[in-house]
Order: sequence, then C-alpha cells, then structure tokens
Amino acid sequence: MQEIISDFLKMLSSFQIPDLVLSAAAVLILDLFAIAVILAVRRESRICQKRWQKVSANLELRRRADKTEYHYPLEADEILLGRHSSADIQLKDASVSRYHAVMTVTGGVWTITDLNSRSGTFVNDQHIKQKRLAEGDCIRLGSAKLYLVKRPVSNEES
Amino acid sequence: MYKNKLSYSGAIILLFLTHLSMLGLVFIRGSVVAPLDFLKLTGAVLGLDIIYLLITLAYKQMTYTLDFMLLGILNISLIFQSCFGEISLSIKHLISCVMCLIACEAGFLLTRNHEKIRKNKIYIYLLILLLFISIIFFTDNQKKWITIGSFSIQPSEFIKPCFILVCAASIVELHEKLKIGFFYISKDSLILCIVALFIFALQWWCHDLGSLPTFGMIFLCALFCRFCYPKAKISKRAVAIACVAGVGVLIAAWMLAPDYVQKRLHVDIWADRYGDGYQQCEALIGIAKGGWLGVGAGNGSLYKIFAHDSDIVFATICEEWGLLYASLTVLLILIMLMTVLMNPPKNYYHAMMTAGVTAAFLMQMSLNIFGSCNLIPFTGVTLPFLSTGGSSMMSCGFLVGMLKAGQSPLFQHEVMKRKKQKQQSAKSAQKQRRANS
Repeated sequence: MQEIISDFLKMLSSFQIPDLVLSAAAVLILDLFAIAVILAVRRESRICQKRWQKVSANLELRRRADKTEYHYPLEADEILLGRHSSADIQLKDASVSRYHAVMTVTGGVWTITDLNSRSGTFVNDQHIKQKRLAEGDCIRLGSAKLYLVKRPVSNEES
Repeated sequence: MYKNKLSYSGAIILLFLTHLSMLGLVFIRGSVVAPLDFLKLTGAVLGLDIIYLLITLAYKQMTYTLDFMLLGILNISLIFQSCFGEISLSIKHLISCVMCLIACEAGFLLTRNHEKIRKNKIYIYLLILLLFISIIFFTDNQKKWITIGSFSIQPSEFIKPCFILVCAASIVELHEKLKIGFFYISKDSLILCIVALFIFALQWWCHDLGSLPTFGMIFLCALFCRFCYPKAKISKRAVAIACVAGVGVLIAAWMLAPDYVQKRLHVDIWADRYGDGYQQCEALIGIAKGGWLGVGAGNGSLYKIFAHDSDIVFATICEEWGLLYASLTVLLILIMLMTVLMNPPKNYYHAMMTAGVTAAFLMQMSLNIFGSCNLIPFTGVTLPFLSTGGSSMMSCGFLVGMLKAGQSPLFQHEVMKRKKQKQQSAKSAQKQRRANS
C-alpha cells in the first residue's frame, strides 16, 4: 500500500509546472481568502448593528439649536452628556455642566442619571436624579433641550 | 448554517483552498523525502480545519470571521513550522495550535460579559499575583521558564491578557475616586500603576527586556484611552506632564540601560557577524536568498540557526516561501486585527480591551519583524501565531478570544433572560419530579 501511495505521489510530482505560476496561484488564493473575510465582516457588522438597534430600541437624541437640527445616535451602552469636549454628546452651552448626566441602556430601556450637575436634569419638565426614559421624552440639561426619538431608517439598513 | 444565520461558504471554501494551495506548493516545490510524512501533514491540516469548523457550528456568536481567520493563520503556521529543515508534521506545534484554539474560546467565554468580569476583577489581580510569585520562586535561576518534566511554561506570557484586563478595568472605573488626604485617587488606576511597576521590575530582574516594549505599549494605550475616556476629567496640563515624563523615562532608560542592553542597541551586525550580529546577518542573508518567491519549503538553510522557528521566524519563512507570501501572512494577521474596526464594540470595557490587544499584537509583530531585519535592535520576542512556543500561542489565542468577546458581547438583559430561563426550567423540573414521586 505504501509503495502504491509513494508511486502515485512521485508521478504527481513529475508534472512540471513553473514555480512562478504555482506561487502566484497560492498568493492569489490567500488574497481572495482575505477579501472573502472582509466581505463577511461587513455582513456581520450589519447583523451586529441590527442587534444593537434592538438593544438600544433604535433611538437617538435630537436637538434643535441655532436653526440647525443635530442628531446624536446612541452607539454605546453608556453615553455621557456634558459640555466637556470628552463627553460622548457635547453640548456647547454655558448652562450645561462639564459632566452633566449619563444615559445607560438595558434591554431596550434607556435610563438617565444626573451627575450632580449645577443646573439639574429635567425630563418632561420634572426635576430628576434618575429616571427611565420613553420615546418622545424631552430631556432638559440647563437650557439645552434634547428629544429622545426613533432613528430614521437609512437606505443601507432598509 | 451558523447561529447568526449567515452563510460563510465562500470564506470556508477559500480557507480550504489556501491550505490546499500551500500543501501543493510544499509537494511540488518543496523537498518531500518521505511522502507519508507529507500525507500526515496534509491530514493534520485538513483534519484541524474540518473539526474546528464543525465545532464552530455549535457556537452561539454574532461573528465568526475571527474564528476563520485564526484557524487559517494557525494552519498556515503549522505548514510553515513543519517544513523547516525537513518536511514532517510538527506534533509540538500542532498541540500548540490546538491549545491556542482552546485558549481563544476560554478568553471569549470569560470576557464576553463585561459586567461580570468588572465585578470579578479581584480574581484577575489574584491571578497576576500568582503569576508574579511563580516567576520569582519557581522559575530556573532568574529565567522566565518553569520546567515540569519535558514541558516548559513561560508565566510572563500569561500576564499580558491579565494586564490588558487590568488596564480596561482601571479606565472604566476611573470615576470612582477615593479621597486620600488632599488627593482624589482612583483605586483601580493605583492598582494598574503598581502592577505595571511590578511587571517592569520583574522583566528587569529576569533580564527579559524584549517583552518590556509590549507591556509598555499596552500601558501607553491605556494612558491614551484614559485621555479619550469621557469620564476621565483630565486637563491639558496633565497630558503635557505625562508626555514630558514619558520622554524623560525613555531617555533615562536609554542612558541607564545595562551593558548587555547597550550592546544590543549599538551593535554593528556586519562588523560582529559571528558574534552578537550572527542571527540577524543570517536572517538578512536568508531573506535575500529567498527573494520574492522563496527557495521552496524545506530547501532553506536558516533552520540550522538558533531560534529559527521563534525569534527569526519571519526570515526563515521569507527564505523558504518568499517575501511575498510571508508579507501576505503578516497582512492576514493585520486584517484579523482590523476586523474589529469594522464592527466596533458597544461598551467601553470591551473597547479598551480591544485597543489593548491590538496594541500588544502590533508591538510584538513590529519588534520581531523589524528586529530580525535589523531595522530596530533585536529583542528576541516571538511573532504571534507564527513562532513556535505553547505559552506564547495560548496567550495569543486568549487575546483573540478577547477580541471576539468585543464582537459578540453578552448584554446585561440577555444574562437576566438566561437566568430566568434557567430558573423556570429548574422549577418545571422540580414540579415534574414531585408529580412523578
């Protein structure tokens, strides 16, 4: 049996194929594998985004200031709101504290917690320390007003 | 079909084709002396591919590409390692690859629930302490290895994932500060600094300064994330002071480095070709000899050099497989690290963890590749996934598992749901038992 296998392999190795063609084919296949993986990652990221939309209830914060409408997508399970440049949602308003409030999400429900801000945090004009939020709620930090609304569906997502 | 309901047939077919094309190259261009050895290698590579792909079907994850890439890279590495000198299956490296895949799954399962790992961080601190003790008391004469029979373990490799977890914990818990005297100090940041100092002291004591830059890079990455983290409350002055201090420490380290380090930093490899520059000279000659397409698997001469399969593995691969294939393999590892950018984690803990893992891999790869090409001082660290060494492979596998955890995290409400389901099923089982009795 061993001899038959050895003879068969020797016969195979006797075929002369140029080194360049062989190596180029191996390199090409490796490249194609890398491209296939990148394409698969793109499809996976769409699925992960859909899962995140479920977790975050597909909501975003919207704010109107200086006749411009700002959209703040909620892309992490913990969002810091404040005036400081390192805040996730930066509100350039003197009445907003540097680290004003934090929003967290669990199972599609967002909760806002005030971080001992100077001007306080209000939800639907009610002063709060911590409160569960619902779609359409109006959050007021100092004089900055934000609305929790559904995210518009983009072409790619649809 | 995979649990995320995506089809990966294209990627899987190309994964097999990649390994088959490599084996074809070994068979036609390589020095196959014993055909049965070649068949054993083919069986091991394809067997590992099939078994792992079947096992992944049972995994419940959001993403699988990291698994495919890891499997692809590990089998490429197995083929490389089995062809150095002669073509025969490297059983030792095969075991290392299997351990790497197991460690990857362990890393994923242990870190996917960030809330849980944050709560249980005390165990990470204890593990680091245990590793420190094992290095100080159980390694042979200030070396970094613990020898048990015919096995050798390098505990310092396992500190890397723990250190990254400590870095992530310290940043996420940054806002929880204690008032000590006039100062507000974050407990976790203090622990991180102590752990970092201990690691640096230990590396110095073990004369293992090669992995110091990797730990330094992880620490720097943590520092950078600290500046970017929303709750960090850091001033520009603090950033400036940290930068100046960092540069100062680097200059001081350069000036005060011991003689054996100074020698490495200033060695002229061509003037000292048969002394300190021997490995690098041979590595460079090997790369030049291999050219773009290499001399063929098993036809190289670098396998006679010490550490050909670990410290100068890039040169050995270049010689046998060519610069093109070696560079593409390294690119494949880089693509694996880049996939996390296309699907960023949705919580800070996993984001910090991912950043730390990427920084560690990038630094280690740069040190190995550029070191063997004499572009930077030669440090003698392993090339992730491609170098031989069980401890290094397990550590790398665990780190990839951490990357996977960032891609498929377990959110808190899902944990609660699972707990409820478990409780309900336990209750119904109890009821059934009662009814039966």
